Amino acid sequence: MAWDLDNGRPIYAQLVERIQMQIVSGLYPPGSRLPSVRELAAVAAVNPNTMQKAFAELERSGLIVTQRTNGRTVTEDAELIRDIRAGLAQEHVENFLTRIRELGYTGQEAVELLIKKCDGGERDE
Amino acid sequence: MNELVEIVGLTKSYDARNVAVNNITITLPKGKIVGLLGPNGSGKTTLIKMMNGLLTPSQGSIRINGQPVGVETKAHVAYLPDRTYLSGGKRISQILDFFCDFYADFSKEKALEMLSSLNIDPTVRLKTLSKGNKEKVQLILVMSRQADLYVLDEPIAGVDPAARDYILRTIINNYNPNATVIISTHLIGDIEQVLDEVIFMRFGHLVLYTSVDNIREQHGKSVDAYFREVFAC
Amino acid sequence: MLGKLLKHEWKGTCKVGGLILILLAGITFFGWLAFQSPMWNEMAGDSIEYNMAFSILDLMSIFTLFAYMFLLLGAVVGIMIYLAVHFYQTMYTDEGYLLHTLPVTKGRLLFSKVFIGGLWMLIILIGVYTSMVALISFMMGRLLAPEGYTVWGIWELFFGELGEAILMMEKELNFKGTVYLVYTILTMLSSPFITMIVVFGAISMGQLFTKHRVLMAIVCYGGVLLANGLVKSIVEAIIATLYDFSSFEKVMSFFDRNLISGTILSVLFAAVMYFVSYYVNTRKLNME
Repeated sequence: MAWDLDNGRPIYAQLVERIQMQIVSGLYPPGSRLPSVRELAAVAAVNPNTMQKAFAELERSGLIVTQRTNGRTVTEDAELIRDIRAGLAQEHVENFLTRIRELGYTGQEAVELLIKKCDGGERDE
Repeated sequence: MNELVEIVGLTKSYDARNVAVNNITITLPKGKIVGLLGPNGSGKTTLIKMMNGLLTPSQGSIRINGQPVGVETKAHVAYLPDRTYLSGGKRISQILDFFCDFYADFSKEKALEMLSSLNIDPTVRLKTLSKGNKEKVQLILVMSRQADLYVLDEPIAGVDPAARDYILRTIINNYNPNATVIISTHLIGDIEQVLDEVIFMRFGHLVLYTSVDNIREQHGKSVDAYFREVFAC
Repeated sequence: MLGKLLKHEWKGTCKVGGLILILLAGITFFGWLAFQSPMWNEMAGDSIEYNMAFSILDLMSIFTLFAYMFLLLGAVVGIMIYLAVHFYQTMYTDEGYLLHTLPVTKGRLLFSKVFIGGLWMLIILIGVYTSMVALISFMMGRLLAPEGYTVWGIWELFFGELGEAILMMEKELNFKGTVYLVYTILTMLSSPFITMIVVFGAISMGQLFTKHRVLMAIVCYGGVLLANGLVKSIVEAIIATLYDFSSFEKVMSFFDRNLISGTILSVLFAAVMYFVSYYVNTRKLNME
């Protein structure tokens, strides 16, 4: 299945986010091997050069390590992954708050809404 | 030397009123997937045919790997025309042998592998295949070459989404990082995410040559949306 | 690469070419049928007063002979048209996209077309001659067998007489029989190739037009044949005015001269038409 990508933003940035997500969510555990650029480009149905660019970006951030013998692997540094995960969570929370404030809710009301939603969700399960 | 294709002042006119390609100058580097985009009748196919020696330019020059279009360039350019150029009476295996004989960079193993993944029997005659499979056979022949330049004229026109995905994947899988692929199309949204760069053409003129990420960063919209804006009537 | 071009060109044409050869064998059998009617028995008989009333079988026999000749002609015209269409189709229609993007020189591409085309024309012509010789053998066998001749014997006699006649003419009339013989054979060998060069040249000329390229090719073919005929007769006329025909020897040398000029003109004509095809393919190619 080709990856669903947004129209308005550069593709490589979206690929970076996508792979980051797959790593922090545990699809690729720490230290595990990643598919090659070409393989992943074919899966995503994107240009291999763009995938290469995304990988380079992820390498710069330290999330991906290139080893001469073993190809590309996810970093063993669990703390780094945790940090990135926390960072992403922070981003989502901020996005949520911005939106909900636009609707006229206060922070307190938003928290109540969340608690109610989470409780309801847990009861349903 | 990173330049693969150098086009200077290229013009093709049939008569004074009918100028299909009008004074195009452009240089394409190695290792890129380039979309040649424009509405129907904008001169895309004319440009491609001149690059393959099927049309004689009225003015200007084309160099590929530093060579003028000729025997030397044809050995390193893999061309997929916008029509069926194989005779239907031939068996696929015969066509494979033909390509083997004339193109030193053709890999028969690769072609057979791709055919078998599509469940196409190489012993059958081409005319017994469906229209979609005929087109795929042509694409397989072209992509089984280890060329420096692939020129694909409307490879995804009139195919269903599954076939389109197959075609794009075949192009990605067989593309080597030193080669450049030129894909002409008027259906931009379908192939946008495999492109590095885009060339916009209109009325035979070169309107724009830039990278996909550039358009997305500068204009905050997809190439498809930007294209509609540029070519709005 | 030339070898591969020739190989694939041969492969591409041998189905139809072979079919026409098989047809020729069939046509020859058809011709043989014509000599199975009782009419020939009567004609072979000594008596002049054979039955003048034709039977239906006799009529059919004559009809068959006519049909035989038409079919032979048809085989020659057929292969020529086939080769012309094949050339057009593989060079100047969608299929031409394949040939013209091969990494081969246009000279080699054209040579492979002309060589294989001419070769097929030659093969079919040889087939036609063979069929005719076979049929004449049937006929003579039918007519002369009752008088004790074998077919082989008849041909032996014929060529013996012909040879003597030529020798006699050479001695008495300064007639260069052997030269003429060699010339005839060379003409027979080369004319199929020249024919195809002219046809291919005309088809290529059609490509110089923006529209109606097939029609223009046919018009060009008629035009070049006409022009060629005109040039030939003008040259002949000029040579004729330069000669006096006061003696038989001089008339004979006029014929020689005419033959030489005719040959030179044919070769020149073919060279021009070959160049036309080459020029169109290297400088003026505009595939639709």
